[in-house]
Amino acid sequence: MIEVDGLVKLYGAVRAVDGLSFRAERGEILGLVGPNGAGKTTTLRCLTGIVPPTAGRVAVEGFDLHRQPIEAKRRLAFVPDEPRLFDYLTARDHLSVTARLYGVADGEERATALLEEFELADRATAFPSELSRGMKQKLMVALALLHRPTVLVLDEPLTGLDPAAMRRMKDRIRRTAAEGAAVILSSHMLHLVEELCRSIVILARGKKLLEGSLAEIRRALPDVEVDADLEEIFIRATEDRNLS
Amino acid sequence: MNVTLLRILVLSIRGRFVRWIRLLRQPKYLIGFVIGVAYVGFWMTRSTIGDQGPFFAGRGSALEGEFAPVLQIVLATVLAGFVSQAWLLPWGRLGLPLREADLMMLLPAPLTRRQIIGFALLKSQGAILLSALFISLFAGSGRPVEQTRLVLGIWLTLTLLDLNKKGRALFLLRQREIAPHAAMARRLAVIALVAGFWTWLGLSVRRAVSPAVVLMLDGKGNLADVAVALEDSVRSGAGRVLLAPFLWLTGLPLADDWRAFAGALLPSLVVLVVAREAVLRSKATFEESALQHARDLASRRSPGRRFAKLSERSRLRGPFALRPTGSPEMAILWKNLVLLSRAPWTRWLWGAILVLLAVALLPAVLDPPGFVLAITSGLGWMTAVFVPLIMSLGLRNDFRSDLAHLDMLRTWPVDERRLAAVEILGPAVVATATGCFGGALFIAALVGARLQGALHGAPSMVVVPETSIILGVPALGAFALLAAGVVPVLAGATAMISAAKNLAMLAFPAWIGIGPDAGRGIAILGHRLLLGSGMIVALAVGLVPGAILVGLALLGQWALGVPWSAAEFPLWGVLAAAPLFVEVWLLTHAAGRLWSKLDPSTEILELGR
Repeated sequence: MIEVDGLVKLYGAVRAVDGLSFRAERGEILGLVGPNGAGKTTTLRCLTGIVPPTAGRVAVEGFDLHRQPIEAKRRLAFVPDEPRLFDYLTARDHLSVTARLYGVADGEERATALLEEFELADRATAFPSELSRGMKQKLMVALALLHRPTVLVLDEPLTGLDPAAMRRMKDRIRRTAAEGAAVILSSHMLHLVEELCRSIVILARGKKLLEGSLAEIRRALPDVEVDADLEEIFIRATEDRNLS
Repeated sequence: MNVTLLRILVLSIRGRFVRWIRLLRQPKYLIGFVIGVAYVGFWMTRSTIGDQGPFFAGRGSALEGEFAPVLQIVLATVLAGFVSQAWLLPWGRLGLPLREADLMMLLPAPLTRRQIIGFALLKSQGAILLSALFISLFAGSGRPVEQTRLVLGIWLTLTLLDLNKKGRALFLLRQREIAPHAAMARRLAVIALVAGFWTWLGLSVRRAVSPAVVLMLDGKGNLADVAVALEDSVRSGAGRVLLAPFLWLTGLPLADDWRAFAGALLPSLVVLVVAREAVLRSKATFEESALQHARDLASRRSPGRRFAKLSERSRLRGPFALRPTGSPEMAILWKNLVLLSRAPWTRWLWGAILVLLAVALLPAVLDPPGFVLAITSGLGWMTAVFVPLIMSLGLRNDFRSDLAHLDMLRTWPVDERRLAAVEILGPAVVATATGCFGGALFIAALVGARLQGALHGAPSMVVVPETSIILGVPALGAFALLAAGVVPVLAGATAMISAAKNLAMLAFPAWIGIGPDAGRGIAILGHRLLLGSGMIVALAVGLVPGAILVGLALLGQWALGVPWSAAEFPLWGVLAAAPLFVEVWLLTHAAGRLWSKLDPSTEILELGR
C-alpha cells in the first residue's frame, strides 16, 4: 500500500505538485493521468525518492519514504518513462546487481524466469546498446519485478512495445496487482488506464482535479454522458476552469 | 562563415551564459564561484606578490638562459609527436562531434558541406580559448602583456591540435567509405609519412648531437654543448624543414616580445589556415556518422560501442563473484569495477605476480644492460607514487558515471553514506592496487639487480648502495619496509582524492560533466587542469595532520633517545595515513548528506536530458 499525503513540490516559484493526496491499496491499480506539465512525472519521482518533496508525506507499507527510506525502497519499484540502463552492464548483469541490492535469495532463478517471461533469454548477455527500445523497456520492467515489490510505479510502461508485447505487459501488470502489489500507472494512453485501473486520479497544474473509479469521476462532472469514456472525461475535466 | 550559423553560435553561447548565471542564484554555486574566482585571481596576481610562472616566465627567468631554445625544440617535438601519433592509430572517433539538435537543423538547411564543417570547427573555439586562458594562468608570469602573448600562443597551438583531431576523425571515416585496397594504400602512405618524418628527424639530430654527447661522456664537454648541437641540428638542414611548423607555433608562447611574437605569428597562421582548409575539403560523408555520434552522446550510449566488442565469454565474467545475498553495496562496487574491466581480480593478481617474478629473476639469467632495471625500477616508483594519484582523479567509475543514472540509483535501498563510501571506493581501490603493484615492481627490480650483481658482477644502475645500511636495516629490507609504509598512505591519499572529487561532483553537479562520455578532448584541458590542481591542494591540506603526527612521533623518539629505525617505516606510514582516513570518513559523510539532499530538478542535470 502507498499513501501520499499533502505532497508539494516547488521549482522556485512554480508549484509543480500542489498538495496532492491519494492512496493505492494492495491489489489495486491506480491510474495517474493529466495533460503535459500537470506534474505527473514529478509526482512519480517524489513517490520513488528520486526527487525530495518540498512538503508532504509518502508512506510505503507504512514506512515513511523520507524517514525510513531503506525500508520503504525495499518494497518499492519504479519503471521510468525512458529506460536508462548502464551501458557497460549486460541484461543479466543488471538483474544480478539488482538481486544483490535487494537481497533476493533466489535472484539467479528469478532472473532467468523473468528473462524468459520477457523474451530476453537469448539477449541475456547483450549490452543496452544492442537492445531495441522495446527490449530495454522490458528489461526495466523485469528489473522492477525482480524483488517482488509491494508497490510498483510505472511511467508510460508500454512505450516502444509491439502490440503482442503490449498485451503481455498489460497481463503482467494485472497479475502483479493480483499477487498483492499496489500499482500506480501513469500514462497518456487513456484507453490503457481505462482498461487496467480500478481508480483514477486526474491531475492538472499539480493539483488533483478528480479521483475515483471511472463511474465516480463521470458522476463528478456535470453534463457528461453516462457512457462517456476516460478520454471524454479527461478533456472535459482538464478544460473546465472551474474545477482547476 | 554563414551569418546565420554565426548567429546560432552567439545565441548558444548566450544561452549557456544565462543558464550559468541562473545557477549562481543558488547559494552553493555562488559560494563556489567566489572561491573559484579567488583561486584564479591568486594565479593571476602572482607577479604582484613576487611569484613567477613555472614555465613561461618571460624576461629575467631561468628560461631566458642557454636552455630556452632547447625547451622550444623539446616542445615542438612533443607537439609534432602529438600531431603524428594520432594518425597511426586505426581507431578513434569518426566524423564531427555535433549535437543532434544542431544536425537536425543544419543538415536539411540549404548549407554547403564546407559551411557545416566550418561550423563544427568554430563551435569548439570557445572551449579551446577558455582552456588556453586556464593553462596560461598556471603557466604564465601573471604580467598582462606576457600573459596575453601566452594565451594567444596556447590558443593557436590548441587550435592546431583540434584541427588535427577533427581531420583525423574525417580521415578515419573516409577510410570506411572507400574500397579496402584504397584505404589500405592510404593507411600505409600515412604510416610511411610519419615513420619517414621521425626517422629523418632522428638521424639528422643524432648526426649533429652524437659528437657533443661523446665529448660530454668523456668529460671534455658539458650539457650546454649538447644543447647547442641540438639547437644547430634543428635550426639548420632537415630538422629546420621538418620541425618548422611546430617551432613557429611553440615560438608564440615563448616569445620574449611582440616583435618575436609577430615573427612567429604569420607562419603559424599559414599553418592553421592550411590545416583548416584540409579539414574543410574532406570528402568524408560525415553527416550520418555525426548523427549517430550525436544520438549516442544524447543517450549517453557512446561507450556502448566499446563494450559491444566484448566476446560472449568475456561478458559472463566479472571482477569477483556477485552472489544474490550479502551487503548490497558490493553490488555497486562490482558494477563500478566492471566499468573498468571484466577480468577477475585473481587474473590481475596472477598477471602481476608473473611480471614481478620475471623482473626479479630474469636479470640473473639474461644479464641485461644496467639501464633496463634502472628504467624498470623508475617505472615502479612512478607507478607507486604518481600514477595512483592521477588515476584516483581521472577514473570515472564513481558518481561521475552514476549521476547520469540518478533516477535508478535513488530508488535503490542503500544507505546514503554507504552509497557514497562505495562510490568513492571504486577509483580508490583500483588506484591503490596499481600503486601497490608499482611498489612491488620497484622492489622486484632491486632484487633483480642484486641477483644480477651477485651472479654476473654486472654494475647496477639501480640506485641502491650494495652494502649500505639504511637506518639500521640493510638497504633492500629498508626499501621493502618503506614500500610497506607507503601502502597505507597511498590508500589514504587515493581515497582522499576520490572523496574530494566525488564531493565536488555532488556539490556542483552542474559544473562537472557527468557520464562516461562527458568531458573529453582538447577543449576541456583547462577545466581538467583547474580541477586537478584543486584536488592536489585538497590532498596537500589533507596530508598536513598526518605529517604533523609523524613529526611529533619522530620528535618524541628523539627526545627519549630512541634511535630512528627503518623498521618503523610501516608504523610511520600508518600514523601518516590515520588522519587521512578520518578525513575520508568525514568527506564520505558529507557526500552522503549531499547525495540525500541532491535535488536533480534544481540542477542542470535535468536540463541535459
